[in-house]
Amino acid sequence: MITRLSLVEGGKVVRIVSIEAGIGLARRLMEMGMFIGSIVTVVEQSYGHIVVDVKGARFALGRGMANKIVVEVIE
Amino acid sequence: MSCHTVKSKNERERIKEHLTIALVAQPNTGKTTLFNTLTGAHAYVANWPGKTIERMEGIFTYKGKNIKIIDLPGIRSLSTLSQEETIAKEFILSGEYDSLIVMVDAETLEKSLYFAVQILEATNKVVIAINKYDEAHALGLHINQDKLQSELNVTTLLISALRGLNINQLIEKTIEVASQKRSPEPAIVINYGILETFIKKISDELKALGFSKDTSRIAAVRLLEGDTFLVRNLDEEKLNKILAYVQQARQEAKERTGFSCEEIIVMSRYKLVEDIIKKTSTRVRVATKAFTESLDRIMLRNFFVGLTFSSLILFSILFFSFSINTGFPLNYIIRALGNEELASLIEEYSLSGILSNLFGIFSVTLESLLHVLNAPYWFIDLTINGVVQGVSAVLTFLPLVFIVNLFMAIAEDSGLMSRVAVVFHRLTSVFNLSGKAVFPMIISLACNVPGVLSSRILENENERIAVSTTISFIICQARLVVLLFFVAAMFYSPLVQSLVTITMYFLSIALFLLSYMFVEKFVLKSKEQAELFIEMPSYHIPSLKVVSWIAWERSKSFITKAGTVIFPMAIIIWALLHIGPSGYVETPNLSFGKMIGDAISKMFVLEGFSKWEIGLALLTGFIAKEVIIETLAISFGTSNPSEAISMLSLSPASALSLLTFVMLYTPCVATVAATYSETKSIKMTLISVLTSLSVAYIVSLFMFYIFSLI
Repeated sequence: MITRLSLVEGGKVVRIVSIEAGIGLARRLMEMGMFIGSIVTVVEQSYGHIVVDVKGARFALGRGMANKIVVEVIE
Repeated sequence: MSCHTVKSKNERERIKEHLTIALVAQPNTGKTTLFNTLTGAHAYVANWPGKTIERMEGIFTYKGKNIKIIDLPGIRSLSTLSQEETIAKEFILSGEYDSLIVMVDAETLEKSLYFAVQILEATNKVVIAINKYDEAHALGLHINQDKLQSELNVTTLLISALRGLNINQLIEKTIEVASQKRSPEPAIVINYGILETFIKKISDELKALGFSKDTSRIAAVRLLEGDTFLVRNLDEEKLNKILAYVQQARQEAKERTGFSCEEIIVMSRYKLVEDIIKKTSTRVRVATKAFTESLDRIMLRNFFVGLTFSSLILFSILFFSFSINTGFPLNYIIRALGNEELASLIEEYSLSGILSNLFGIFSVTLESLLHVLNAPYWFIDLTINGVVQGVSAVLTFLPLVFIVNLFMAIAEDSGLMSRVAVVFHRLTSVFNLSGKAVFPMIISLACNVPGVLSSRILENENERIAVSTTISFIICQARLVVLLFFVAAMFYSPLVQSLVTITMYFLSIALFLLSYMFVEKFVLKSKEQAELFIEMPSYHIPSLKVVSWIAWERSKSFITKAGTVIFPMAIIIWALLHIGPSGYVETPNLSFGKMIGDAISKMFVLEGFSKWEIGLALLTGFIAKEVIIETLAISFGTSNPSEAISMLSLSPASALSLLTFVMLYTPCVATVAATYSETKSIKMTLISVLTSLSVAYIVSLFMFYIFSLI
């Protein structure tokens, strides 16, 4: 199922399909291990942010930013 | 014809700019990942010159330079034997490169640092890249990069090849090293104890044969390890003579210690590596995933719960560090509870109390000593009121800066601070400011200089610059001292005193946020949205070592930044106060300072505090805000600051207006210097000063009119 990271509920594992962001944002995401093909675990959706686990590291990501990341839910 | 010449010149320049960089690592360090990250798709297979073994090469252009990267075969140690490893070793020792990237595996630090040290014994044209640092860090490893760098004597970076962390910095530093025209030297010289005499003997022989000082030593060490590569070009006779020495050394070493040369060398190297690791890194136990998740549920699930906890954390940091430093606000609370004795005891034994007592004693002693020595009066005055005062202005703030940095480092290292930033993002994002800005804001409450410097944690460039330009609105402890003196002298009711104090704080924070927004939007014309993107490390008990590293590093930059500026300015201000048209003067009212004070005070006719003493105090306040009170005292010829404030005989509205101006105008020259060093822009520094001056003027005028009406 293809959706946006901002819409995935907690506990799901997703693969990044595309990142609809400018170079600056895309690079920051990449530096943190989030690029096309990366597997991301959504830990929790919260009031203004979403907590994700990328290769063992935790990040808090703004809703707006998460909305620019297209993902495929894999489990 | 001429066209041809030009072309070949370009060609030559192109070749000159061609840098060769080789990638060296033990197997499984992530070398291939780094190679692919660096070269992207531009890698190809080449042959080792004269050999049938393949090697990977990649070429890329960086800032006009052509960089060739050679991926050396993985190599366990310089004393190994497989054909591929021999190629790598020979390449490293031959020096046919402009620089080496030596990769170290953070997960097996000791083993791979040993390997790196072997290379550093031969050359310093090296950048050390500690790979997989992110993963090792998540498991509790902390490395003090600066310290490690100074131990290894070469640029050392913490990277993650997999995540691309610090890769650009790695490229830049490597090219920097590669472009240096110096010839390589050993970065590290190890003391091999008992072997030293033999190393000296052998290297003396080699020197006689034309080896350089540096090469002869490393060649001798390698020979004792059984490696003849560096002496391969000697003819047989000379070689045999050298080898005879080596043989003799081996025998003697065995007889005297029971260890072989190789063993002694390996042990000495490991000892060095262990020492370095002990000095530069530490391991902490991290919380379990379950613990992290449940604590995060409290901190991050509900905004108001998270905000309560976050505010509590920040409040405790400020409460404890301020109380230790000046006694405030603990002394007020205890005084309100009726225990006057304990309150004054706390004030006296607060750090700044102790320090100012010490400086007082020091000043008096020095002064009488100078009198005994018959020093001229002006010299004594300059030393005591210029030099000593300048030094004490910096030093009295050092403990506070250190303590706040220490508490912040504890919050940071434990993993709490990043959650606090996530929570506060919701509030700060209203001003298009990311939650991480809480960090410089809190530090600025102690002192603006480290506050400005800590704006570095903001990733967005515009955001960082706008914060460094405007954060000086936040009331620092120097201004707090002035604030407390003023409210105590102006108002009798403790309730009104507290109310005014709190109002000033809220006013300053609000003005910071508003002017930040203004600068970001209209000066920097930023179009980016403050996005939340914060890494949250696993919670763990903060390590004392790590925390003191961080606190000390940051406090050190405070000393250098503040010290270099405050000190000369203190002397200039002394000169202004003591030199007048008639030369050296003892009282300020005959000095140039008075004239300047007069001129400045003309601007405050509307607010009703147009007095030269105030103009002068505002000028000296530019050195360090707490000096304002002292200047007033000196100008009125009293030693009691509260008396001086009363002697101003201002109306309540004028007094409040003056207080507002003092709180809001440019904090001090050290902060201005910090702003410049962070923004690297004279324009932004000017904007910072002018914004604070004009906002202070407008708001204080406003205050005057409002309170004149009441």
